[in-house]
Amino acid sequence: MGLLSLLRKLKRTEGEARILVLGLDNAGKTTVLKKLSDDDISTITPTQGFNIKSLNHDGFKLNVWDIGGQKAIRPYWRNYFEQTDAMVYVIDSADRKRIEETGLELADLLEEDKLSGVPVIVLANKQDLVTALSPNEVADGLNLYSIRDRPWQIQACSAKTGEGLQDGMEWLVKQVRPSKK
Amino acid sequence: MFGLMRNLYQHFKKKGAPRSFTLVFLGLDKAGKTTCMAALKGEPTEDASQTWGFNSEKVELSNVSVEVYDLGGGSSIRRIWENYYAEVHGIIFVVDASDEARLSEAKTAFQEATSHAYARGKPLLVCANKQDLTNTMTANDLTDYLELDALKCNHLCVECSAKGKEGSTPSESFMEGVRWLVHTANVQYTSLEERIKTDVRIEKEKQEKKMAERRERVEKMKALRQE
Ligand SMILES: Nc1nc2c(ncn2[C@@H]2O[C@H](COP(=O)(O)OP(=O)(O)OP(=O)(O)O)[C@@H](O)[C@H]2O)c(=O)[nH]1
Ligand SMILES: Nc1nc2c(ncn2[C@@H]2O[C@H](COP(=O)(O)OP(=O)(O)OP(=O)(O)O)[C@@H](O)[C@H]2O)c(=O)[nH]1
Ligand SMILES: [Mg+2]
Ligand SMILES: [Mg+2]
Repeated sequence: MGLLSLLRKLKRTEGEARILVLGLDNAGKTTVLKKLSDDDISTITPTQGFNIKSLNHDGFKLNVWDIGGQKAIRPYWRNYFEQTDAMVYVIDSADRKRIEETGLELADLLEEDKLSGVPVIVLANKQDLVTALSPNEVADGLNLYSIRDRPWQIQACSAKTGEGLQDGMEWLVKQVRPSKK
Repeated sequence: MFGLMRNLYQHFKKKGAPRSFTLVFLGLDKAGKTTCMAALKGEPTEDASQTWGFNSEKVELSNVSVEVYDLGGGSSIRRIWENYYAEVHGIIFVVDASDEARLSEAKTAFQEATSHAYARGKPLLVCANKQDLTNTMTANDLTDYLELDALKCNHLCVECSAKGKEGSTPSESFMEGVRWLVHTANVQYTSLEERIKTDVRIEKEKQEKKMAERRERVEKMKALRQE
């Protein structure tokens, strides 16, 4: 498990990729990143600014940016858009009340010039909870099928158990065009 | 077949404005849609990962620009399909011809798709895929099983392998099938375009209304939370 084994598998030997992780507060973004790095996930607090995880393998560098999602700091998201190769959009699948809200935030992101064409994976997180939405419901709640200008994928996952994270990241890293920079 | 394509090309040249086509891959999960798509793009793949969403590729087929959509086929993502029917000129339905156990599920999904108001009557290519495996269904069997002849649309069923025996090249029958589909869509282009324009406009209006309602609901909810 982990990002490093993923990088090994991809056999990329040059270039750099910048991955942006966004989503509402409490979605599980930081937990996802920590779990992928095999870090302890028991003491995570809301992110006030951002966390960055950098990985090197065989000359290929992967930078993952996890940005805080609280309402008051969402306006700062735009400071991180530059040069993004792929986006991870994390949702709390059990938070049915806010599915439309998170969908609108995503819709606004997809309109951003700097993110145009950037592939997006929606991590439908917290699937360990019984009330979690299914991919069909997530696609509808986020109105994903109105997207035509980039590939998108839903990955059901649980940052708590780690299930689905590896598959999701694998899809995402495959979308990054080699040595763009 | 090649004569046909030459005519098609000459027709475009005469007309000036190039026509463009949109096609969609449908079919159950693991049928081979993404593998077919990779073949179409000329980048055969060994290891397509499962699709839980949408991807599109632009390809040139005999000098014609074709945009192809690849969608996830698993039952928990299949509901997205109907959101793409309005804008396509033709449908490619892929069946794993070696998987007898899932034939009836494939038939149900097939009938649901082809009877949808936005999909009905559009040119249809059915691929009896994975012919490199043993005990596969023939194109004739599949034509009967899916009751293709009862459909009021131009259809063709081909036997193919998205992955060749060596794992690399797709069978020529698949490429022929797709060329047939584009040709058929071209013959009906004017009426298809008219229908697409209307259906897409209706869908767009529906979407805009839905989004406006959502924005309103969300704003209300946010206001409530702040109180
Ligand atoms: N049950 C369950 N809880 C999870 C899962 N992932 C995260 N959580 C919990 O959800 C809460 C929020 O997780 P964070 O990782 O801090 O969320 P975040 O998206 O980084 O939040 P902000 O930094 O405020 O934007 C924590 O209590 C996590 O333990 C999951 O897969 N299942
Ligand atoms: N033997 C054989 N295997 C094939 C053929 N076409 C596809 N496969 C394999 O079947 C599996 C599923 O193929 P995909 O292309 O991912 O199927 P899909 O229809 O895109 O599935 P979803 O994305 O889940 O909807 C993969 O392991 C492919 O390598 C074929 O013609 N012959
Ligand atoms: Mg956080
Ligand atoms: Mg697929």
